[in-house]
Amino acid sequence: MGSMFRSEEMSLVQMIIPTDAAYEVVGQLGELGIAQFRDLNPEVSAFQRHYVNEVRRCDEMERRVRFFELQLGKAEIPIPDVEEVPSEVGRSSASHPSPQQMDELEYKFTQLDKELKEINTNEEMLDRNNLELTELSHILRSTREFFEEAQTHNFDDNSAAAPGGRDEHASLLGDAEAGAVYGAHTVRVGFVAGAIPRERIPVFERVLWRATRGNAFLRHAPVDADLTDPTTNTVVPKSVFLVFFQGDQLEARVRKIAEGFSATIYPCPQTANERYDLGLQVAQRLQDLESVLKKTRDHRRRVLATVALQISSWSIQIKKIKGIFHTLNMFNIDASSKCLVSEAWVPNCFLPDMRGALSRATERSSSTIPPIVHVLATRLKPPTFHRLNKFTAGFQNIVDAYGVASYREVNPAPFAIITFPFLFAVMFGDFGHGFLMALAAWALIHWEKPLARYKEGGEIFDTFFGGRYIILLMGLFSIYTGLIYNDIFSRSVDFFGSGWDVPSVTKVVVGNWTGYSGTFNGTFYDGLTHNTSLPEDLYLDPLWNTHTYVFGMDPVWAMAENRLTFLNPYKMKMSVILGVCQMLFGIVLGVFNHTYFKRTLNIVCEFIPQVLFLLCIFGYLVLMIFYKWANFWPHSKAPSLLITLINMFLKFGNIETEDILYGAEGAQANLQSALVIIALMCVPWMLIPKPYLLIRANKRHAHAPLHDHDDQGHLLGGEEHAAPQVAAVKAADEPEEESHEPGEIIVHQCIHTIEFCLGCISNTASYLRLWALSLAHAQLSEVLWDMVMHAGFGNPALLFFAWGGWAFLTIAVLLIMEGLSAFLHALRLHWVEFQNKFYEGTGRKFHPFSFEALIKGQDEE
Amino acid sequence: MVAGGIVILIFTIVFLVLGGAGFFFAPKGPNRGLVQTMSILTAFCMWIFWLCTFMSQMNPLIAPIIKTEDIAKN
Repeated sequence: MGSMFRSEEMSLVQMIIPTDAAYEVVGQLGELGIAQFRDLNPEVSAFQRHYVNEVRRCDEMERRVRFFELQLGKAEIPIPDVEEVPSEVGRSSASHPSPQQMDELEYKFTQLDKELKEINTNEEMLDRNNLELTELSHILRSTREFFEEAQTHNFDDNSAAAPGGRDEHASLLGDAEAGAVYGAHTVRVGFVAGAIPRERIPVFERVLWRATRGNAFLRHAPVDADLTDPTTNTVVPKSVFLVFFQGDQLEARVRKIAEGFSATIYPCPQTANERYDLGLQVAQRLQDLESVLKKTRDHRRRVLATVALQISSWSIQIKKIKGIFHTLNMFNIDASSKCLVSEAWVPNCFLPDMRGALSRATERSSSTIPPIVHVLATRLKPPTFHRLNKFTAGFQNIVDAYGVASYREVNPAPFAIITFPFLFAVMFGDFGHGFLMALAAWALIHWEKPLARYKEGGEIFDTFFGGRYIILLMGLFSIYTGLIYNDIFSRSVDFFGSGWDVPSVTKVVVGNWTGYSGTFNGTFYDGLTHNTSLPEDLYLDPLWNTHTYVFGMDPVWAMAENRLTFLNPYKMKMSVILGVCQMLFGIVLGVFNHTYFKRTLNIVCEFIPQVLFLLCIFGYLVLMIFYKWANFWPHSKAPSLLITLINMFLKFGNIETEDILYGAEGAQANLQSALVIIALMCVPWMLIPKPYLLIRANKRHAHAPLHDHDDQGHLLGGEEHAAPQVAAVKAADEPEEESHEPGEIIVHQCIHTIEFCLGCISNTASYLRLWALSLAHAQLSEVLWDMVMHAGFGNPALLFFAWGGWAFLTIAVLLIMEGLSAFLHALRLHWVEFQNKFYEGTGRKFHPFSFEALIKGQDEE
Repeated sequence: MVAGGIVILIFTIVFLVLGGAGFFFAPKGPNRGLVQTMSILTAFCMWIFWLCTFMSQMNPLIAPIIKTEDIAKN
């Protein structure tokens, strides 16, 4: 069965690579993704390794790429996917970059980084200038407004005094030096103008008031324009203010308070003329600044646009370089530091590919000495690697979720491909639901390629998409089981003609009287009166069953009142039969493990008694089930199989008359006694011989000399002259040997035996979940039909809504919820009941060094 | 009874043929073994499921009880 049945054979390969070719070798292997490198310096910390500088350089480059990404995000330039980039730009992402390219990249990044930072500082400076000028212009404007206002106010008060009061220059307050407002004293009234964040105004005002004892006058006005702070890049609402005061002392105080409130103070000329001139100047400078700023921004956009095109391929390249150096750090440096020694797990089927990669690498790096490759003999447990395709991967995931197969162990996945969807379908049997499920899976498969690229679906979508082939098979099997159960959205169809003769009945209505007429049991009822009407319930007789319905359930049961009474024993018995079959299959699969790993002892002392135990008890039960089905029983005489099975143990050697199933006087009792004796004998058979033989073998082994232990580091691949001083496999990560302590062996065997014997009983009972779930599913869909869909019959408008509700509930409850529950139960039956019969699942997964995985891992983060 | 045996025989042969066809005509290639396993298992699962259903109805212990109302024509 190829690689699905057992994991691939692995070799521990030692490569001795000249230092100058090492980078290229790892790069080539990374492209193929076929080698899992071992860390040969586990005791060396990450900072002491040989290529730590290169890794650091990669980190620095990654940091720069992140900086570029940040800049791109700020400039709102979308980053195209690698596939969307024109090929001549993205070409370099196809293969890993050489060390020279790494230097080039680094240089390019430094340049770009510098350029971008320069542009940014320039821009920030310009922005700051811009802000200051804008604020100043606002101040000038509001100062003017304020003085104008004050003047008109003044004009209103003393209308006679100043007939030409519109003239700004004549105003009293208009020029601050005109202290005359305040009467005879010619005290100088000064003012300070500035801008302050708007929310600070009230506090500022209060503090000013207190500090100057009410001798300062604050005027403020909000700035309507959005002023952006260039350092934080946030919009800060601001107000401009004017503070009037008298005297130099107060001026110093006011200025200090303003500074304390982080207000910006601008020099504001005292006279209106000067202010006017300044205003013109500011406007001129603002205009110039605007154009410079625009040019700077354009320049930055151009630079970033070229960055955007390449950034995806850059980050991929850096990932690759970093991955290569990380791997190189796992290598041993030869004493002369002329070559590196590496060890890697490589599946045997990929060994030729690996040699090809090595020769390509030698060519590309123009190294004179080719790398030397050995296959090491080792006691280390190799990693588990199954060659999968998109169809089998989902099923392997189900198995791996329980435990990764031990190396070369029988893999349950190829069998689960069929048995898993089948057991699911036993619980989910409904033609309609199965059809919908298969349809959904078919859609996922049909639009596989576009959907695979769809990343926004979230985890739930990814799970469904990853399991699309499982869902398809589950749907298809549900169609089959649905046909057998004769359930199509809980309705039945009569395909082949029912085996039961159902009398034809006519409803008779006479006045208030409703009766039923027809021929039943040889008597004609005309249905006209109470005495001559058919009874409400028609009891059919088993003897009237003319033939057995050929395929599936007879549709007559769909309308029978005692449907469940008939279905339950059938589904229960079928669950037991399926369970015993699957458990037996699991035990038989164990033989493949025993023979492959040459554990003859396990065949004799485990497999044979296990099979006998299972067959003598539950195999016999299955036979009894079939026997009972195959024979006709007058209703009261049918023996109960479960009680027969229990009495087989409790009333050993005897048999109750009501338990007699077959055979002449005592034959059944004798056979059952024999089966019980065999089953009971299996228990000590499993329990005693194996630990005894193991302990004896260990004792003998302990007396034997230990010379066959040091075969490590023995080179198989020829070329023995290569590197004699290379230490091969370190003892540090030796695999744990099986325990040799006699006590442990005995305890282990005890647990194993008890687990198996009790497990047989509890696992068989556990398969009854097939019956329970299938019953629940059928009942639920029937209830849904009766309660929702049925309510709509007879009224087209109501039918429409009833159908809508029914369809929605069918999908939400029956398909998704019930599907998930049946999925989980099928999962459990496989993980526990099936796999514990043969599967260890203690392996570790093969994680080759592969660029593809590295780049994918980036997406997952 | 006899008829039931014949039906079982026919269906068993049908499923054997289906499984055998999958087994012998599986496409050559690395997945041949997998396809063969799948077809044998599929045939077995479908067969035993059908068999249980059929045999459970061969000699019914109980007969349906039907509400007269359910089968009445007006």
